[in-house]
Amino acid sequence: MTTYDLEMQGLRKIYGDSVAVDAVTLSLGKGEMVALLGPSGCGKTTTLRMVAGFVEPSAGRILLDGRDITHVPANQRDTGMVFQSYALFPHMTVRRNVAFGLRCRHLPEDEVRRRTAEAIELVGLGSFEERYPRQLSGGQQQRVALARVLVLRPKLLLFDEPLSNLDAKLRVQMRQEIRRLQKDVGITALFVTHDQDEASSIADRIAVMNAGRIEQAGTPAEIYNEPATRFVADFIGTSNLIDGVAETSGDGRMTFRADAGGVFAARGRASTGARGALCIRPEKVDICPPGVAGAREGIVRRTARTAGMMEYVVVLTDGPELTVQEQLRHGIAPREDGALVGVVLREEDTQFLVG
Amino acid sequence: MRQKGAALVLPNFAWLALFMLGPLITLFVISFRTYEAGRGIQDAWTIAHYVAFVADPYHLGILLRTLRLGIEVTAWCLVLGFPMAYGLSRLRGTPRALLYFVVLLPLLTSAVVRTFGWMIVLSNNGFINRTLIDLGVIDSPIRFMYSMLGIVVALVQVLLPFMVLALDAALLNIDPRVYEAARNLGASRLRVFLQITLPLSLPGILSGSVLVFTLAISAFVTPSLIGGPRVPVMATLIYQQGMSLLNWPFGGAIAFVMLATVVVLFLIAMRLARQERGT
Repeated sequence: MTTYDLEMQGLRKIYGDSVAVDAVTLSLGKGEMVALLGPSGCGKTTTLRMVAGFVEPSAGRILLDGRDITHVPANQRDTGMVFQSYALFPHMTVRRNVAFGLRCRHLPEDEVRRRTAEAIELVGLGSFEERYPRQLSGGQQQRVALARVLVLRPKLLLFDEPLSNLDAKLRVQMRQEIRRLQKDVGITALFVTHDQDEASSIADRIAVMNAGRIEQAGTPAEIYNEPATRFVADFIGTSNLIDGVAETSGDGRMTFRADAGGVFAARGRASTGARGALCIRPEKVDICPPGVAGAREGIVRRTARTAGMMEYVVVLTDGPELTVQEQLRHGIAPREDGALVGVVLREEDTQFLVG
Repeated sequence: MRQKGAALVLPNFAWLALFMLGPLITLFVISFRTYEAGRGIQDAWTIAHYVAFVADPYHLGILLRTLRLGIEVTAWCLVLGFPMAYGLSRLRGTPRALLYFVVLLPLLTSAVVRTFGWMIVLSNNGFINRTLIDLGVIDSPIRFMYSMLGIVVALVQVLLPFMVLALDAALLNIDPRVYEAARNLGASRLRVFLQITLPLSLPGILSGSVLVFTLAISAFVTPSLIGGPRVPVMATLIYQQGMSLLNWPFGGAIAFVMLATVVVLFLIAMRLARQERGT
């Protein structure tokens, strides 16, 4: 009947007089992995904990597979949560940790044993069954935490920053593994993280949260290429944000007058005189010799070299400052500080954001 | 690092060796000396005091009563202390500080004053009995005074803080996410308590129990004032032998029987704790 597996409708959480989560509405399709991405304190973890049943929402509804679970106790929700601290039972072996949920469901002992063994095999810990959590590495503990929820075949997987306690290399490896396992079992998943690379690589869609609200939800490419708000443009990747006002607008195209000077063509809709900012990604600005037709001119002010890439701050003759990235290809010399250069801003890569 | 650590415990160790271990060894030696009424401690060696204690049903009865007292007080402290410690471990900030203070309150009054207070509350004409009789709940007063019941009630009150603080320390060590994980995996509240909370707080249960048990069986003021001569326990028996009858060798022997009992129980508890932690 319903095409969505998890639906959050107007979820709100108020602590005293501070609003932790404000009117969060988000739907997850069957088998979809959605990342809740945002800075610390943005309400993403509180949202997840409301779905898990650890936090009572102040308002709103949560539907799982069409059933209203807003007031269902945490142990009857059929969700599987993986915690940042793993939260393994320290006094139980790997096997007993994984079997715990099956035992709660009073399944026959031979089924418990079979499914436990399968789940442990699935995460590649076959020879660690009798170990205690403290005898395992962080990555192995995380696998046990995964096996412990996967063995139950829950309706929904919940991840609360599960990779933050791992070192950088293992983190990348584990996120591929989580992604693969989640797609293999086909269970819908909500993944909380503050790391945009993690969100982009693991999730089908990203919901960017700020100050208790979802600012934008979309595929990683949509979020990056067409940020809906200034916050998203600033939080995801790096952006040039040029303050100013809209001049003329129509048909999704507009002209924009920067406070620092200069008129720019951009994508976007706004009424004349609306304040906002232009968003241009540094790698989408082309740098060329001065005098090329259609290029603006500017002076290189600061240069910085990163691996295989130069980054310049160019002050346009019109006024605004732009950060520009240029790939260093064979035969291209880095621009000198103080050099006069041409800069091409393409209209389709320049976006107007209200606010 | 290890050398410095050793230096830090040295003053305390010297103090203990001088004033605790020294008298203990002296008393141990005395407990093997003969004693003659009117002439005091003699130079001859004997194990008669130990034999006399073990062979006399009256004395063995006192040992058993003392152990029973320890077990009862420990059990009540556990039952009453666990919910309190659980609540305490979940609080933060000022509420926690206030409750912590309330828990410690019984330790802030002197044992004698506190025990006299209990005598007023527990006597046949005391607060509890008068209230219950006036309400028509009972016809004749409950015998608290000069009975085991009264000793247990008074000891539970004063020893409860030790249990609560030991349990609180153990409960604080448990990551609250572990409870959430158990709930998330489908465990009822009862299952979470039995399979997560209880086993993980076992170190605290053991250390609190050893502490309370030891203090209960060695308590002197409460049993002597509330129990009186009708309900002798090991501590009052030792006092009677040593101070009233001046029979130090026999008093010493009784003391060492009790010490040996406590040490054996302590070793068993340690073994249990190690088993639970796994190896």
